[in-house]
Order: sequence, then C-alpha cells, then structure tokens
Amino acid sequence: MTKRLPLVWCQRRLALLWLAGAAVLVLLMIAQSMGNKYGESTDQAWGWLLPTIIPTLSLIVGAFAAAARRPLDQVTVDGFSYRLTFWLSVFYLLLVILVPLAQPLTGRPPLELMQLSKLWLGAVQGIVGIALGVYFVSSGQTES
Amino acid sequence: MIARVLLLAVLATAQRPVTKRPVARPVDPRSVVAPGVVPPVVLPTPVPPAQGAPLASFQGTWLGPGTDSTARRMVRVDGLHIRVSESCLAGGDVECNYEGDAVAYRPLGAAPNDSTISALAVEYGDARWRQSLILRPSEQGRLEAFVYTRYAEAERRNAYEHQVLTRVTFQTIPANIPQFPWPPPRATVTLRLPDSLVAIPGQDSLGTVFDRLRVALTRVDVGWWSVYAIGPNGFAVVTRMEAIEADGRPKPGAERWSGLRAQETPRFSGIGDYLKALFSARPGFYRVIVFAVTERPSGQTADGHGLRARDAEVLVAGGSDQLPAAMRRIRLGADGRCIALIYEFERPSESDTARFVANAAIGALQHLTLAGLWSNEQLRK
Repeated sequence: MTKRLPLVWCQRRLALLWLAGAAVLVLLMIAQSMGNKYGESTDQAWGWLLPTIIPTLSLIVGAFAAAARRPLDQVTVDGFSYRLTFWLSVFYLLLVILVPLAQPLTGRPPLELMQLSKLWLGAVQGIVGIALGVYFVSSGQTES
Repeated sequence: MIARVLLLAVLATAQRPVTKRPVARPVDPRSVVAPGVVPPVVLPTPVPPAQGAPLASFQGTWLGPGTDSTARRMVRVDGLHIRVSESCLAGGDVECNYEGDAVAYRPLGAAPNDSTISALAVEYGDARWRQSLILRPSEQGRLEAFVYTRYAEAERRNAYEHQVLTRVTFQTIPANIPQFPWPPPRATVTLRLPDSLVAIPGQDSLGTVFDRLRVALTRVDVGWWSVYAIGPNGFAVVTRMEAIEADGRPKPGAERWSGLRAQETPRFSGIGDYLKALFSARPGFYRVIVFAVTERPSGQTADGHGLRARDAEVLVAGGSDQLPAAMRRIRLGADGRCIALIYEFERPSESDTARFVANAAIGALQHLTLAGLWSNEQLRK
C-alpha cells in the first residue's frame, strides 16, 4: 500500500517548485528583454513563456489557496501521485528553461527555437496536467 | 553654283567606281526584267557634290518619312547591297521590296588609296518602270536620297524625289535576361569605379567588362552572381548576400555566404561569451554589391527608399549567370561606366528581419577593398 502524505505539505512543495521555476524563467526573460535579446520580437518571446507556465501555476496556486481556507491538517494524499506530479513538474520546468538556455548553443534564432519547442512542451504539459488531476482526486482521504 | 553639278553625270565621267559594277536585281515578284524597254534615267535635277564618308557610315537601316517625299521609304544598306521598301511602283497600295547591288563612287580628286565614298548608286526596275537611287552622306549622320523614277507608260510622269533618311536603331533587348530596375533603388554607398579598372568608355565591349568583373568576383569566391540587363546596352551584376562584421570585414568561412536565414555556428571561448550570447542580441550585418555598367544617368528611384533585404534576395536569385552573347558584342558608349552600388543591411537581433542601412559607417571604397575585390590603390587610380 502506498504511503499517504499530508496534503498541505504536498501543496506547499508543489507551489514552491512551480513558483521557483516560474521566477527563474521570468527573471531570465526580463534580463534578456532588457538586453534586447529578442529585438522587436520581445512580445512574441513573452507570448511563448506565459502560456507555458501560467495555466499550471494558476491551478496549483489556486488549489493551494483554496486549501488554506479550511483546516486540512488531517487530509492526506496518495504519496505516489504526489511524487509523480512533483517530478513531472520538475521535468517540465527543466524542459521549459532549457529552451532559452540552450538557444545560444544551437545557433537557431530564439523565436524559431521557441516555436519548435511547442511540439514537445505541449505534450509534456498535458501529462503534467493529468498527473495534477490524479493528485487532486486522491486528496480528501483522512489518515486513520 | 559652279560646284553644283549633275552627280550622275560626274559619276559617270569624272569618277570611277570603287568596286566592280554590279547587276541590279529587281525582286518585285510582279515584274519581269526587260532591259532596254525603259530608257536610261535622265537626271532632271542637279545633285550637289558631297563630302565623302567611309562605307561603314552608309551601313544599316534608314527611314525616310513620307512628309519629306511622296512616299515613306525604308532603305537597308548591307555592304554594297541595297534593299528598298516602298509603295509598289507598279501600282496598288501594298508595299514592295526592291534591291540591287550599288556602285560606290569616290569624291572628286580623292587619292587612289582613299577609301572614302561620296555616294552609292543603285538602279532597279522592270519593263514598266525603272528607279535610280543615289545615297550620299548628309549632316548629323543622316543620308540624303535622290530618287529618280521613270515609267514606260506615257500616262505616268517621271518623278524625282529628294528625301532625308534617318538611321533606324533597333533596340534589341534580350528576352532571356531580366531587366535591372533603373534608376536603381537607393544604395547605402556608391562608387564609380576607375575607367581603367573595369570599363573603358567607348572602347570596351560589354563582354570585356563582364569578363573583368567576373575575374574580380571569382577572386573572392563569390560563387554565384546574378546578371541583369540595364536597357539594351548595359548590364548589372548582383553579388550574393554577404555576411559581414560591423566594420565591413567578411565573416569567416562558410558563414560569409550563408545568407540572411543562416544559422551561425556558435563559438564560445568561455562562460563570458555564453552569458553574453544568452542575455544580449547578436546583430547581423550583410551587404549586396551591384555592379552597374551603363551609359544611363544614375540617380535614385522616385520614392528614395532603399532596397529591402527581401527584394535583395530576390534580385540575387532572379537573374542570369551569364551575359548573353548578343549583349557581349555591344560596345560601351562614351558615357558608359561601371558603378558599384553597395546595399548594406543590419539585423538588430536574431529574431529581427534585416533592414536597409541608409547611412553606413564605412565607405564604398572600404567595402570593396574589405570584400577583397580590388586593392585600395587600384580603386584610387
């Protein structure tokens, strides 16, 4: 039987992971925008980043905020679901941040690489979303 | 005037033909040659003597407008063979062609070794009519035509015409080579190349000029260029889009000719280079050189806009790789010259499109020397 974990603890870990990942990405993009890395296409670069992280980040932060409104100290979640969601999130965030970091090494124009990355990021983002769904369904079981 | 004498009388007596007297060959299909039926033409009007001219100055196609004579007449002179197109003398509204071999006459008092010709005379006709045509050089490169027509039929009156013929220039624009827009799009910088370097006006043929340019382009391994016509007697060579540094030096290796959309090979000597590439834009600089060989006055297009990078790429790909043989033989006129038009483009970042640079930091001479086409000394001659 899979070990169950406290829901609040899991939510905090996931929220921290996504906020940290998003912060790194946003700071990187801000620095690049200020360095005129994307020239006249800065808005397009941000147009790539925001749909990549905001939907999932909103979901996690929203769930975290909803959980904060009621006492959930006794609520537990399935440990495997949590770990699956956590590491899928790590994998996804690494894939996202790899796009701007690897661009100078590839020689491709940044926007071209961003467009190309949508192919795999979209697929992984879908899997992360499914994993998050399973994680939320698994919540609500009180540890006996 | 004493000097004005009957030309044919003089030609027949005081002068001797330069060439063997040919036999006229009437070609009017409706006519049958019957020598002797029509008496020899008697010249009713004195023809003034003319200064001589080389036979070459008679050559070509000449047009006499109908306003100057009774008939519009086209005369083609090829060597000593003359072909006349005019209204059929036998009647009708259709046009007939008559031809014959002319006799060339020297000026009075010409030295034996003087090849100058004062007049060409030809006669053609059939049993019903005969026509004599005398051509002599006139002012401003034109020919004067004295036309004597005599009819066998009593009801038709003999006629004399004087007509000034103007040379017809056929501008044969080769169909297999596209035209370069002229006046050209505004260039970043331009330079007229020294005449001795590429194009000697009034002396070189377009083929010779093209070969000199080709040698220079081959020297820097351009590999591909695009040739356009500029009107009927000029041409332009458009070089490939060349990637350069900000100071005009060409990019090393294959990057030089990789074009606008090429992916630059990343070269990092340390983490500092990587961080610089990560956080800042890598601008790109490019140039296209157009060598325009033409007599036409230069200038710029009415809108004054420069060439767009996209249009430059189209130009590079849209022309021919060779100058057609028909154009190679054309001689560069006295006003001909070779102008280097340098179009510079800048791409502020990898994500931007390249834009025309209106004011370059370096001059045309530096562009050409840095490209490796000619040395500074050659261009300053």
